[in-house]
Amino acid sequence: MKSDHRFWPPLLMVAVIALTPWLGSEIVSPSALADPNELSIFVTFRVPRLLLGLLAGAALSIAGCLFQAVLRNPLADPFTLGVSSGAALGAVIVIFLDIAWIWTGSTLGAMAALGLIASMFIRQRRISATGLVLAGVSVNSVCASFIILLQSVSGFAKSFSVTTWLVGSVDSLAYSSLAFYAAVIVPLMLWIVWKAPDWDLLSMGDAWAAGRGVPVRTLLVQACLAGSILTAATVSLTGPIGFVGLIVPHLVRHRTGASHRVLIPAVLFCGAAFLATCDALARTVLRPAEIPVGVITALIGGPGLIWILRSERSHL
Amino acid sequence: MTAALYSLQSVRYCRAAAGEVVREVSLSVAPGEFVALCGLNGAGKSTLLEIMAGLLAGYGGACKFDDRELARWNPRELARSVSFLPQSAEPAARFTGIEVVRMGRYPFGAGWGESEKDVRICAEAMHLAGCEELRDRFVNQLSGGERQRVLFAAVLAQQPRVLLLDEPGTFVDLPHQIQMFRTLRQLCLEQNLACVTATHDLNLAASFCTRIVLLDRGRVVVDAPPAEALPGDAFRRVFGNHVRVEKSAEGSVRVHYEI
Repeated sequence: MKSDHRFWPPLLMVAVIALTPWLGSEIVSPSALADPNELSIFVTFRVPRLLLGLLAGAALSIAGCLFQAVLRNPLADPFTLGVSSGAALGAVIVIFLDIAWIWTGSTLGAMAALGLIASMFIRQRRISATGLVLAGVSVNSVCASFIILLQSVSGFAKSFSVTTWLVGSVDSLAYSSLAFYAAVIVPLMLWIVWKAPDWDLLSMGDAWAAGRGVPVRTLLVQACLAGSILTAATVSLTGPIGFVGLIVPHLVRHRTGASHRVLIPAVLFCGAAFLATCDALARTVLRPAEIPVGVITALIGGPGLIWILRSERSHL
Repeated sequence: MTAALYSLQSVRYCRAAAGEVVREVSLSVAPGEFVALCGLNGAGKSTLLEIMAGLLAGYGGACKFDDRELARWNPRELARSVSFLPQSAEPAARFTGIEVVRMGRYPFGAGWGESEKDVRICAEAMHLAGCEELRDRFVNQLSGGERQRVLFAAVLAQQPRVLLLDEPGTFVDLPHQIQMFRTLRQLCLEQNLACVTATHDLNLAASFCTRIVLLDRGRVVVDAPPAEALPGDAFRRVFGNHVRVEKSAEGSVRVHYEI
């Protein structure tokens, strides 16, 4: 029963890789790639977009899973915690100031947002689901207000580019940016997978983990840093895409149980498959027009979350 | 007399909200001892156990395990010798019984792979804790007492030299509580483990423990074998008129509740 969870998530991802790149404003058939023109379009646009979808989906899902484990709260994810909004605000400030350092801006923003949340629960390491959501809502709205403020004082063109970026979308990127992104997030994700037994213990409580010899404080700081960097790197490329880190771990946990040795690798593959699929839908449904992928994830994720809350509580 | 595993000298601890909760506690625990830590709510039992388990830094005085100050132990290294069952483990998570028990092997590096030895140790621990039937059940679907027995098995699977237990009998039905205390006594007497357990059940403490330490507002007021400790004045002072201690001819003591 256990081993079967080791196989289906990678298979799911492989299926998505095999099926989705052909979809888009134009449906390409594999045989058309014999034409060098078609092939070059495919390699310059479709493939990097697929790769970004896979990487960003994996990163957001793993970050969500990590936050849920260390905060012991099934509602924690980069979006609900306000980490995504923080990263977005950081990035918008950087865009507004016409500096090219979106990564730096979003990373600092993400850490500031998480720091704000952390200051709430650092004293008493127990934060209720309500407290968490309220804190996230307030961080989100503060960030949103600042972004609107910045937009209203900036010119029309800049404001428009910020708006489209804010909905969250997966676009074709240069391979060099993709490589840089992968170089940042892949080691982090591998580290999170490798530390799975620690997340198991931490999700049972700090005292429980410490009694088994887990260095709780060090690990918490490392987890928060890792989660913020994953989120910030992703947000700076795609804009804030919501619900991925919430919905994917929930659906996967439903099947695999809470053991992170099984859960985290499964979430990695399923998250990648999920966002790549959503992006394929986003560019196909209203062909030739495109919907931002953030709209699709929210349309699936919002009702999905309500369904999860109704069907079963405390699933962490 | 074997050398003490734990030796505490004037240990003090302040909590931000509650002030000084542990005051000038001096205590030593030797292999083979089964110590009951008694006292009213807020007497400092949990705090003292947390200090001994290495969870609380910044205590005053000296608290040494194996002749080394606790602050100088690496957490994982300490966990190979000392196993701590906290009061507030919250297995709201969807782990199976065996997954929780396996957590006891974490300090030995069994995070990912699992040796045959680990499998055997976990099975033995579940047998000792009387929870074999809970092996494949999800702990978030168990009753409070069943869950507590799974946690107890995990703590045993750690194969420590010292067990520090914070009210291990919480939510557990009477037969299983008795089995738990009997197991602990056997481990102490036969395998020379040491065990310190906070408990409110004076009769279990009287029947199974080799020593009772009574804490009153952070101070040790009694430290003696049950037959000496329970009938003493200090116990009556702390518990008021609510308990009556009866000594039988063979020297065992029983505690009755005055209602």
